[in-house]
Amino acid sequence: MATTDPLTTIYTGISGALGDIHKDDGAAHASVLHIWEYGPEAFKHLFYDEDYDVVITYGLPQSRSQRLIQDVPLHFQMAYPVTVTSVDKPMEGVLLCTGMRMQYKVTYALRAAVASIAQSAPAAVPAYTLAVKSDSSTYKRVGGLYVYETVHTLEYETDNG
Amino acid sequence: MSFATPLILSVGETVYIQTRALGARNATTNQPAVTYGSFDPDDFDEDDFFVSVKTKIIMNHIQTSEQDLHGGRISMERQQGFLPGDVAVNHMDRLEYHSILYEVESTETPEYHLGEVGFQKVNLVRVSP
Repeated sequence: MATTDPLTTIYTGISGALGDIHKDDGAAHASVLHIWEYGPEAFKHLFYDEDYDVVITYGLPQSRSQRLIQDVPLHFQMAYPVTVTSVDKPMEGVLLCTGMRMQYKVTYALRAAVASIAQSAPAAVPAYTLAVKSDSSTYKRVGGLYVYETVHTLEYETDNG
Repeated sequence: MSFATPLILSVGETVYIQTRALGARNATTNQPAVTYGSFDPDDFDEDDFFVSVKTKIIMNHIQTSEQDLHGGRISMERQQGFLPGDVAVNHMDRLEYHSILYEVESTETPEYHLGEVGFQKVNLVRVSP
């Protein structure tokens, strides 16, 4: 039986290895929140009451099984969405943290973080490999805000789910 | 004279129009900074004549909707209001109404009655958290 939820593995690994993300000036530290998706906090609360600059959410996967040839054990490929959300801050005047600029900074750091946890330790249960399979960025004008989102799809492959 | 403007001014609620302006361009993005004139009745000076307009508004209705983004649920509150027709207000200006900021999502051409400017509709979306 799997002993660790892959979502916990991904969340713990990335949040621990992401490193510092800087604001537009390259010096000030951006405030980054890692959370499981579908939490109870409202969007504007996180960005303007809690004052986070970037919110990284870890969602539920889409999975499929794969058996390359007969008698080879079944593998499961689980696609986990990790979404990076940013907004322009402050709400007026000279921007100190441009939502669009934050996206690649986090993408770059995220790829390095995933590489650092790309495979499980020897004899670990479950054994897994992890890789960033794709990134998809969108922009929305919602609720008076400019919202930038990038969904990074991480493929978690394991032999026992 | 149109009946609409004195009606709005007599029974409407106070609102401050914050005029949107574009500032210096950012060296990296080449996009301009966005500023809003802010009316400050406690420190009223000549600037307040140019950056903001205090006027009256009659709110027509409210509509709210919710949308789930990955980062959390966002509430979209929309109001439609009637401003005096001769007040200058443009798309993407802001209105401060009961200490809540709204962005002007769209404006409609002022309506004319017997050759006089009557009122104009503005559609607002809430910006404040």
